Amino acid sequence: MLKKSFTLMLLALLLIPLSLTASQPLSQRVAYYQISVKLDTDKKMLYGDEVISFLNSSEDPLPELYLHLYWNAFRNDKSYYIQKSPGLGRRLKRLDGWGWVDIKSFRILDGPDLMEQLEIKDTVLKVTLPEPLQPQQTIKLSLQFESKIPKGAVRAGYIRNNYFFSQWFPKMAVYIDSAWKAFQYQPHCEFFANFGVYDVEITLPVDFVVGSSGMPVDERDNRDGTKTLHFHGEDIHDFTWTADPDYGIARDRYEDTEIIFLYQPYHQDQISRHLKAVKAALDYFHHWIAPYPYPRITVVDPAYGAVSGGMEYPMLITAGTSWAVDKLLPGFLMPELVTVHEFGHQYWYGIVANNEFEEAWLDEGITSYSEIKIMEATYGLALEWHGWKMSDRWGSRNSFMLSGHRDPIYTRSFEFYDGTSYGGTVYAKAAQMLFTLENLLGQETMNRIMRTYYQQYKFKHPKTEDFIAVVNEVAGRDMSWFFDQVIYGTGVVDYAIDSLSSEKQQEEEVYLSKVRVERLGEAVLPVEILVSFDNGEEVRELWDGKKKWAEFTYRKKEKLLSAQVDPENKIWLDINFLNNSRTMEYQSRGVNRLVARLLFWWQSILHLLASFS
Amino acid sequence: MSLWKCFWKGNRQTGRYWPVLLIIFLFNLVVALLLILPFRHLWMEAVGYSLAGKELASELNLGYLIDFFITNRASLAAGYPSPLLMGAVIIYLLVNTFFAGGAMGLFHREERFTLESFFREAGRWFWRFLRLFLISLLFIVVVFLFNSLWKAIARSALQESANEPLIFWMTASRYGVVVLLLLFVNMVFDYAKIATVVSGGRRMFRTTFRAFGFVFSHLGRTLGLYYLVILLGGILLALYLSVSYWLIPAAVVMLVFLWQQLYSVARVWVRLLFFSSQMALYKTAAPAGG
Repeated sequence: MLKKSFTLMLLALLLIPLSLTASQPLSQRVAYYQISVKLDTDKKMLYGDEVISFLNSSEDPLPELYLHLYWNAFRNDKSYYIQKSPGLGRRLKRLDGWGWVDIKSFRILDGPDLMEQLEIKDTVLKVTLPEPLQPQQTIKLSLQFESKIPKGAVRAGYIRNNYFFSQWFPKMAVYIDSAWKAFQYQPHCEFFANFGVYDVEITLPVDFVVGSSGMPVDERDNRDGTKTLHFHGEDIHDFTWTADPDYGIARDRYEDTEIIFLYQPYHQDQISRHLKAVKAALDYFHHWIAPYPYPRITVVDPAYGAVSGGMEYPMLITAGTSWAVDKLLPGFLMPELVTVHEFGHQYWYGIVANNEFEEAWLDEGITSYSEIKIMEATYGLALEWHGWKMSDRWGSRNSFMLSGHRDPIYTRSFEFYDGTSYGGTVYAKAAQMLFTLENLLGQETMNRIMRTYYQQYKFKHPKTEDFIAVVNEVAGRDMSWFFDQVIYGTGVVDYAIDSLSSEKQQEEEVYLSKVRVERLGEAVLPVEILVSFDNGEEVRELWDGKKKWAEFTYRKKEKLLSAQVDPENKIWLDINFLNNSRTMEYQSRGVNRLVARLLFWWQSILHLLASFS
Repeated sequence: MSLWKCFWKGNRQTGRYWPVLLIIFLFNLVVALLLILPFRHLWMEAVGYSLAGKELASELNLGYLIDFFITNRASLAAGYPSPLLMGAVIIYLLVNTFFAGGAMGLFHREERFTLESFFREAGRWFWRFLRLFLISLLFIVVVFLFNSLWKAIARSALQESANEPLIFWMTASRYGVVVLLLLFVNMVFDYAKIATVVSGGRRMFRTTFRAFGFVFSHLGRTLGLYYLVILLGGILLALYLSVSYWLIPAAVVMLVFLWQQLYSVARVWVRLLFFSSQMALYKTAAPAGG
């Protein structure tokens, strides 16, 4: 059945519309996948045939090839993933949700069988070739695989009748800089893959609604209760799909891009929230960076209880909402925030495709920076509830401040101290770093940096030094002093006004005023200081921050009122804004207002306790 | 005596013994003031002489607050060590148990308030009320066990369900029922205290079961009165919130403080009203001899 289906698919490839095949390649198409897969919903299995055409685009001969078998992360509690995430192991055990991928055959197409040459270690497969693959030579591998679909795993698997297939097929690792980037799949790790072309044929029960990367080419009813869908994707580096008979479908457009929203039955009244968010993101990127280059974006609303929300894949993203959040906290823009963030990854991961294993900040940090800009431009505040207000930027700042400052941004994903450090650093610190950079260089220069970075590295695999080189080139100055501290270092930024004094001189009718500013953190950034006097006069000073402290002295008829370091809050990396200023007068109202409120909270808690006595 | 009569009699009695209300209110305020001191010290250090403090006088900036809590988390943990918090809670509960004896003793005897009479009654009933409090903890534990059992059953039954509204309402119902059960336990132990004061009994388990017996044999009236007082509490809360949100500008710190304290007095009133009105009902409905 599968063989026949696979042959049909190869024939169908010949009939792919010219518009899809004749277009100018946007990327160097290193890998070409032809996959035919059957979903068995009774056994929760996938049966696949796959042909991979892999181009050795390097200058090195390759005696062996590496592939990822990501689902082996969920095979048992011995896997690298479960060892580092025992909580997930317990969940999979409780649900009997273990999943895996088994290679049933592996050969060079029309060539020798390579099953004996396979070396599988958890989620990484190594195959030794009979002869090294020479530079610019292409090899065609033919393999068959069977996968048990995990239940309750992260990012992939099934729950009830909802299936989410990410990292589901044997996938080529990336050979770059004379090395294979074939890391084990671990928590905090995401992915890295070659650009290429995907032809995927999916056979599944006829009543399922499917969303996927790529574009639909063909659909046929097999008249046995199943149907076969054929998708084709170009210049993408992954192929993800989802299937559920209960998905609702909402469609919209932005310019030439078709928007598909696959939603859960209980989220019908949230369609407009998601569509507005994805259109806002498309529009912002269109004007800020470049038009979205693919014809379609599919937004998937994950099934209740699934752990596949908030993820990015080429041409497909997963959002995240719930029936209760929408009803109880309508001012909490979580669905919008997740949608905008994941869409941002279409550019910073999907198109500018850095290595997420080793330099995750390049996608997560730049995407968080983009997300905050879009959220602020579109919605203003991210949370507004009974007088409590919070912007996305401050939310990100809080996450950064809680990160512990133990790891540099430039750290491999799986080498962070813990999840809090990973998230607070690669997402939040990197975003705060980019806002600080934007304030140091100016909005217009920063926009040019982001556009240049995109133009130079679209459909490529940039590294941190490439981003820094773009900044230096566009800014016209060497910013290495900045990046050395904030990307490669762990030193914190913390400036404070240490003390103020303003004494009237006896003989002269002037005040001798002194402002002491202090650098409490290790990181050195130039800062402005705003000094205010009681006649409204303001004096601005610039301090290079190199010494641990500096003193500014004034002899004026006016008395000193206050001093503020970084008055416009340009340095978002500063870990304490409260000590950035100092006043001569005691701010009793500011102190007492919160103290009175907290006093009342304590009283309320005590009253509640007393009712049980 | 009808519910309304018990309710109004309770209100009259609470008003008559306003010094009891004042003692309980002041004790609550003093303990809260002591608990706020470490925070106030750190907060004063952080914003007392800063432009952030000036800004916070007119608008509560959540960002600054979070900055404060994150940068001062070690100092806050040092200022509020767990043993201190636990000790404060225990002492507060014990003293309130002591005050409850004083209040109930006076409500029962209806004698003139003096500090001597209040503390005499408080001392007389303290150990018995304390034992009742400890017994009530057993029932509270039972309520939480019930909650865990329900949660486990619901989780198992709804594991394969994607019906989010159903799951949400099931969870909300569980919380609702747990709150109702806790309130019921609270009410029963109010009657247990009342029965102790009225009959002078010393066997607290027996008194507890008699309180359950009383409540179940007068279920409509006991629940009716209890929820009538809760309704009053709800109305006072709504009034407090409405005035806070709509009438008092948040920046007028002294006015906000006074309004909060007035509401705090109202809460003590409601607490005493439970005692006095339920005592009126108990004395009317309980068989002679208590």
